[in-house]
Amino acid sequence: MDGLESANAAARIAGPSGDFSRIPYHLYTDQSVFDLEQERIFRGPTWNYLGFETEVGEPGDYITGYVGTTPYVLTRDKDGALHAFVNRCAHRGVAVVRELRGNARNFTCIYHQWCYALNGDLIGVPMMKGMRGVGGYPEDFQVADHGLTRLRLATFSGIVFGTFSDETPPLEDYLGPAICARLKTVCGRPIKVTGYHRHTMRANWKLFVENTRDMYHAPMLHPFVSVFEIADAAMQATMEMSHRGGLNSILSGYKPTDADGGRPPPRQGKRIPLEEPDVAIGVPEFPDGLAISIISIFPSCLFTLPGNTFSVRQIRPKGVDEVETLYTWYAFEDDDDEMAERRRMQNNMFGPAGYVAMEDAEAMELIQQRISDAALEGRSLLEFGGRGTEDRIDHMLSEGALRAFWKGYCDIMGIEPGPAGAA
Amino acid sequence: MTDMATLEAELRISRLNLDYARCIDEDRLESWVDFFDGEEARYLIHPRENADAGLEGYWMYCRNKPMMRDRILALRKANIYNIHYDRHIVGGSQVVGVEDGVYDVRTSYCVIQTDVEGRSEVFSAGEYRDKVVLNGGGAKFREKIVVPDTFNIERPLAVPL
Repeated sequence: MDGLESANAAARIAGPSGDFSRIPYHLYTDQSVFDLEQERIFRGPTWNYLGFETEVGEPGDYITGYVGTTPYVLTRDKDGALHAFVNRCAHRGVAVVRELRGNARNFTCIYHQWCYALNGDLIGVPMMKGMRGVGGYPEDFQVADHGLTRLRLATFSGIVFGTFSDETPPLEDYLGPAICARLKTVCGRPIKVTGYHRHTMRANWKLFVENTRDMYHAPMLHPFVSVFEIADAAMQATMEMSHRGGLNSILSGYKPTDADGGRPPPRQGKRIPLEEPDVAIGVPEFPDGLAISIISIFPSCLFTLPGNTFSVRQIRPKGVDEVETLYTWYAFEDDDDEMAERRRMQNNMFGPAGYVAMEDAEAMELIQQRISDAALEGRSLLEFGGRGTEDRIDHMLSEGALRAFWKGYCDIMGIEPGPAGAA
Repeated sequence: MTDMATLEAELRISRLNLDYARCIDEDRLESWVDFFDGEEARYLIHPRENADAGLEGYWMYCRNKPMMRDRILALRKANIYNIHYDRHIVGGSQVVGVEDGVYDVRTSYCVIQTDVEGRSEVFSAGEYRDKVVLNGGGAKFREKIVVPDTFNIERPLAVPL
């Protein structure tokens, strides 16, 4: 799509209400919206999470993933430099790298054995000059013209981001000072990856994004918290949506400390007790009693750090009605055995079998099933905690982080919001 | 050639896995823990991607029987998940080693889920890596590690595999 076509496509999309309290269903179901998102968001001026530096720690190490629907390979070359390129052969479009991750000297496409270096440059084409004077490529064919499409990279606190656009601002400006400070806290020491979870949901990727910013649903959809009385009523919560027009956000929970600066003793629900309540009881390990962080970095990832179990999730839209999430679980290199076991225990809370997470997939799929047949006229209602957007909210009883997301989304997509408060 | 004693053990352990699977499929989950031997028995779901890579990344980590009982209690009292039937198809159990009377056993499984409108799909295919003890007439799991080949899961994983 050229610029004008793209602008026209955006203009044809009816937007949310001007106060972002009404979100039309077609934004979750329309293929043309999905296609425009790939262009304007994922291949547009955004920094996308690609992985941790430690996942490609040695020369020749590589991992694969997706920016939107575009497959990429992240590599470390023999000089230690990081590279990322689109995993699609310049010749016929074959996936050059077929493994999820590994170590390689170079990458050879299976189809006609075009060979690429670790930085994505084309370095070998069989029978380039033909054989016995016949065939081969034209005289003006240049190997240097046919490398794999590269992403521009930047790293912060051991986290690698990539972008397809030359217009994307410097990474630290993109993340904003609040997120930079938080990432330095939660990835502030050498980390190690402890495992991956892959969970595919039959729902639009934005339903997932909304869910991760929606604190209203947590005590309702996830009864584990109330049934076993593990919620800490004294927890202080904030939502910060001040950067990137609301697209990036941080949700934080702080545990009060007792007079000695230590943590209050773990509570155990009285109504129905768990035999092993340690699955749900975290020990604050960051300053200021910071006990929960959910750091959303638009458009492709969120860091979720409740208690002592840490993950980053890569958001991989697969189609208008399907999203895959890749959890990368991490811990600190210098964890002792006690902390390692604590993280292992609390891991039961999250992931596809998570005590306070499994319901999310069910809720999102139930939405997608129902809105696809009402896409033209229906809309979502986001009035909890008011209308419009705010930069900061100091409680959890609000859908403000969702409204802020939609404001930023409309900006980057070039979608014009409608009148405020439309019914 | 496998000796008769091993074949007999395999038959008894195959029966253990069939009974285990039927217990889940018939939603008698309160009895699920009874297939395990002692309070220190372990139940883990370890997706193959992580198992092969030497990473932890468990989907479920029950380090003892109390945690198994908690899992079922949560499922009954708290968790909300897709309405479905589970149907286990369990292969024969093969003993791959014995140490101090504890059998190391491999068994293939497949769980087909059927949704509320009657559509069936493969939910999880993989292997049970069990440590089993035989006491008199009974067989029980000292440890059960479920290793799903299906490491990219669809829908919630609420019920043990």
